[in-house]
Amino acid sequence: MARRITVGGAQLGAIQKADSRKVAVERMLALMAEGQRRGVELIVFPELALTTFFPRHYVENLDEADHWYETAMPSNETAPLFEAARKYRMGFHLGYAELTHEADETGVERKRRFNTAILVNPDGRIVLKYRKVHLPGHAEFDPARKVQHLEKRYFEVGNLGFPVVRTPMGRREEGINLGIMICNDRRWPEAWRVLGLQSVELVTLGYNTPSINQEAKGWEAHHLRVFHSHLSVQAGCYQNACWGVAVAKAGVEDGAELFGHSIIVNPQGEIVAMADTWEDQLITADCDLDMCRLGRTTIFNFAAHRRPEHYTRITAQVGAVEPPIV
Amino acid sequence: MARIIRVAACQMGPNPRIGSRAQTLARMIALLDKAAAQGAELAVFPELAFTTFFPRWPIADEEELLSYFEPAMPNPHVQPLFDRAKALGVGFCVGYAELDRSAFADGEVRRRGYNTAILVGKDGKILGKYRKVHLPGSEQVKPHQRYQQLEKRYFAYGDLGFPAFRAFGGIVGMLICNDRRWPEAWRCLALQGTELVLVGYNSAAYDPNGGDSESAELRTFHSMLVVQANAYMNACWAVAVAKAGVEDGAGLIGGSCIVDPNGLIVAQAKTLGDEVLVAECDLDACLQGKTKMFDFAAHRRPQHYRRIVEQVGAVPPGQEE
Repeated sequence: MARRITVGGAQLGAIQKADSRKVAVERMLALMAEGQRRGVELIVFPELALTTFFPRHYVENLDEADHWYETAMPSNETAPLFEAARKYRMGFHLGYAELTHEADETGVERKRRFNTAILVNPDGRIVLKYRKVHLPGHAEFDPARKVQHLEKRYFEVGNLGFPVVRTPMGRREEGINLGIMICNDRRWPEAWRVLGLQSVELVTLGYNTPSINQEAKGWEAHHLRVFHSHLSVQAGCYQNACWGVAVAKAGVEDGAELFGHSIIVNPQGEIVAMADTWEDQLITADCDLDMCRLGRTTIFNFAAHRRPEHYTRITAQVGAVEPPIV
Repeated sequence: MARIIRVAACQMGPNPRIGSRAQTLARMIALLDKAAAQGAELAVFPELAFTTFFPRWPIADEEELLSYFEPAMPNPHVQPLFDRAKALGVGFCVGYAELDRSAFADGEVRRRGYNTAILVGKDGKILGKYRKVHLPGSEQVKPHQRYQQLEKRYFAYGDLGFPAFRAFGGIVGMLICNDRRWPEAWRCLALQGTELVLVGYNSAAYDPNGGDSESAELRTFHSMLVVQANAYMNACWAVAVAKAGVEDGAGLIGGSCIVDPNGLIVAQAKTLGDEVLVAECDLDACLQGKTKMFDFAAHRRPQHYRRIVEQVGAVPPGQEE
């Protein structure tokens, strides 16, 4: 009585600064058509899938960057993805930059920008939205860097927490517990655990990750970049007994390299599918959601084994506080 | 400007249930000698290093149960290890069952103390103590199982949190066995600036639930995966040390390893027996992660982590109160 869902990781190659959304959407539609041929029920596109990774480009005045953001979802440009979802009975995960006018924490309505991802079901309905919490990089132009990474300038910290939704997807009418992460979130075990504490069964995750360390601080061997990405996803899945689909935008974008190596990982932390290009490429796996149960009822039976009384530092402090010198 | 500490992982083969204390201690001293001969300043022994992994049995006999616990540390049974370490000028970390009379009053669950590890300085002084928080297994004996996992029956949950200690020129923390699978434990250490995590373990090489869903290979993979990932995500060194091999008929995985702050294995055991691995750990190698990707002060968002401390078990969506 396996609860299987066929999942596709739709890696995208580079999207150049000059490329229109129409071009990006056409490429995604081709991957959905390919997915349909392979029986895919849920397809995962990367972070910021409609545009180049624009946080590498500095603008003084943020309003000049508005054209990188989506003000509506679906929009005229993205509607074909929603139509394809209905046509193929295929859910999808889409990452994009979101521009919205919303009240902030102080109740003041203003223009707000988030690094966002949504899950759309086979009826073309948005069933889950997540706004990236772990924004890497910096807020101001950094002259020491060869390439900027201005996510902290272009986006606010997400304000939706780490939500999990139980919803029918593909042939699984009884519902699947689905959660979303974006890029750098995958390196933060707190994010995985908050999803795990909601019994997430499948985590969909898109990323745009430079294949070289662009910060002029310290040195990091290039080959470690992919290793770290895989290691984080494998451990996140194992430690939370869930499936993970981690999908890259890859290739040389505006002259900057992003690595590919998109993967699908099972609840044992094993890689079951991996992309081997830096281009548009679909990887697929039949994910048996019942595989989550072994971990969840034994080693990672949270109710039996977690000891939150000893975890207070995790929420009581932000940065590290070293023990006093005695 | 490196801050190098030379560390030895002293993997041990099995300790038989009957009459092994003196032999076991002699093997530990031999491992210590080997570590010292290779220039190690700190030797790391496994969890419950002085005895067999006794929680695999229901033990009715009180005298036998108490024989696995250390009434004091050091005590005459283990003093030769302390003496040799001091003579060699080598510090060490060792796991043992710590007798604590205050943990006795538990009714039918027979808690006799803690699953403990200590850090001992080069001068033989105890610098730090940790009591295992993540006790796996069950309180009650499970019928129809060849081997039990009764840590919850014999030990009380650790009550010292996850302390970090300034020692050996850096900041050192200890975890025990199953703790290494819990990112909360690593994070609590890293939030104290920990640069070196010492982990001893006794991990079954078979599916502890009696099935055949997990092989020794898969379980060894899990052990290495969590040590590598958590060392990376917390920008620290890690030394993970097994009691390995077939102990009283029950298989234990090996896979002892020393892992750098990039999550890379720099030394790895090749056997399931007594074996010493030595690596030079530059504690300054933690700085890359601690000041960049894992600069906690810059990047962590505790306002979104509340579930981690506010709930124990998983609550599926739609089933919130």
